[in-house]
Amino acid sequence: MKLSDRDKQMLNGMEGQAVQEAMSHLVALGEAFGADEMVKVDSCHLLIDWMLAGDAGLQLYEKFANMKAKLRVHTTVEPIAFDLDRWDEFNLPGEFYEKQKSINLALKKMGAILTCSCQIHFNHNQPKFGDNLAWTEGNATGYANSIVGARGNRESTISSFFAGITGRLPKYGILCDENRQPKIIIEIDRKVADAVSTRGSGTTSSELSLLGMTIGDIAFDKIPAIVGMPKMTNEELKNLFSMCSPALTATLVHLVGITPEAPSLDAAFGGKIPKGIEKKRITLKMLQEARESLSQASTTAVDAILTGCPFKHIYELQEIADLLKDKKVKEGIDFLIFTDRSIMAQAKVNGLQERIERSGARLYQDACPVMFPHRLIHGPNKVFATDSVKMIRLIRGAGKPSWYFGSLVELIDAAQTGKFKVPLRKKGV
Amino acid sequence: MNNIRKYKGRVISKGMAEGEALVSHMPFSFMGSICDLASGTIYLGGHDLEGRSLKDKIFIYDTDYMSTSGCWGLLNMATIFKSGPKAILWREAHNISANAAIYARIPAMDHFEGGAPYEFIKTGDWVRVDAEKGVITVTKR
Repeated sequence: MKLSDRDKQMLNGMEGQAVQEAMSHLVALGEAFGADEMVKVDSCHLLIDWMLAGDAGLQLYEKFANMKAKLRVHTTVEPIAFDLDRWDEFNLPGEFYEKQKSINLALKKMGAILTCSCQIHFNHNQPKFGDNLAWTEGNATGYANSIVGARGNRESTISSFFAGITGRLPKYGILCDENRQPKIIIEIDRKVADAVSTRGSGTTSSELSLLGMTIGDIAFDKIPAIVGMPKMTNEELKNLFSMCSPALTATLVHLVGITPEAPSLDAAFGGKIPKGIEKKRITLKMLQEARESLSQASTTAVDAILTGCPFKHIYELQEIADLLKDKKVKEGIDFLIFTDRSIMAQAKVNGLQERIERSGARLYQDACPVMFPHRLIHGPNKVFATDSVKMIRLIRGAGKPSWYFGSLVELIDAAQTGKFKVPLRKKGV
Repeated sequence: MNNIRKYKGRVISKGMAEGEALVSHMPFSFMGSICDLASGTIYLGGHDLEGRSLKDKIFIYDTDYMSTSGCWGLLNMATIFKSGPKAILWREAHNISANAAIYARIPAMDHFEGGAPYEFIKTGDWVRVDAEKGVITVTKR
């Protein structure tokens, strides 16, 4: 791999031990993946919650903070397991707060901004066309790659951190031009496009989730070109990328006519569509099958309703407040909604937090249910409902709650009645 | 010995290891939604290795998906819980686990000349991984 003079200085320890260790790891990574050179990194987004980082992540962050490492580029961070202001409502073992405080302290020392958000691309970490990103959040890289034309792999928790320390990353994966071309064409059936365009009805959330899930499952490790996608708001696009990202190995989805690199289908392929390229079509029937596969709970009674994966934007909170109107959440049912600190500030000043919480629902910042220790605090007998495919896919496995999937309207109905009304059918997420 | 074969591949993380193969045909995540990090037991219903432990195995799977936090998961297995695999062989390495393998010095390879490793290695086979020279030796059991 060809290294710049500055890269060599970092590798030789001329910028200190922390930089040397980080660069040495990145060189090994680049050589493993056959990268020709290093590229400048424009921003970082790190995964910092203790539930997922564990003691290994805590030790790594503290080691580098103690070596006086500094993050050289704008660096934001992912959500954690609790709201830093309302931590006492989260019923977590004390260890969680202590370990998280240690991680937060190490990151602040190194210059990270504690955004605790998965929608940093909408506020504190806005990407530009052509930027190289070292981000750990799939929905955010999905948006950055596909809507903005920035470049970001699903970067690991270690390489994203070391990219921040050095300002460099090996030019690999979809940071390279040649790896950004589609390998499959997916056509959206007109009826599917209509179903995801029912804005403001409160049902869009589930249709869009299912479309994202289906795109991700079909594409998996092939970058898709999507034909027939209707125009969407930024929040809808955020949700779409969130739902497809867990199944994708690279979060670039060419939405023909929307993605900067895909003004037309031909252009997505660099001018000519290859002969014999794989083609698939997404129909309403496939969305229905996806819907049925997600609801796996054995009783209709629900314990908690969770929405805000990805975090809610201000307009989505407005939609929830409007749908809730004067409805009340049934006693004993937790209706939890998640957003970030910047949006919470807007929600407060615009009266949305008050309108949402007077129903009995709770609106939290910083916290994401994916980072909750579900086996420890909930166990396998709890039944949860959500409109997020991503939440269901990332919170599963033995000892964890079972799920219902539905639209915002269905979630609010379940919050009022304590029962989820969608009938149970097929098996298998 | 016709039950012993060698295959060349690409080195992702250098090192040497040998042990019993545990083979999945599916993509995987060390995030903790598929396996219990503390014990290494795969606990996701419907997974092709449900109930098996990957601890101290030569772990073979397709590639990473689900969450970038799989990197933290593997690092915790390797360094905190000591529940990680001895080596990893992929069809296609993904940076999510490759970074943890490199950092924790877990030997790892992909791009084998015989195709995806799960096509020619079965659970229980004995595998010697030379991720210095880029060769694995498979003894069929």
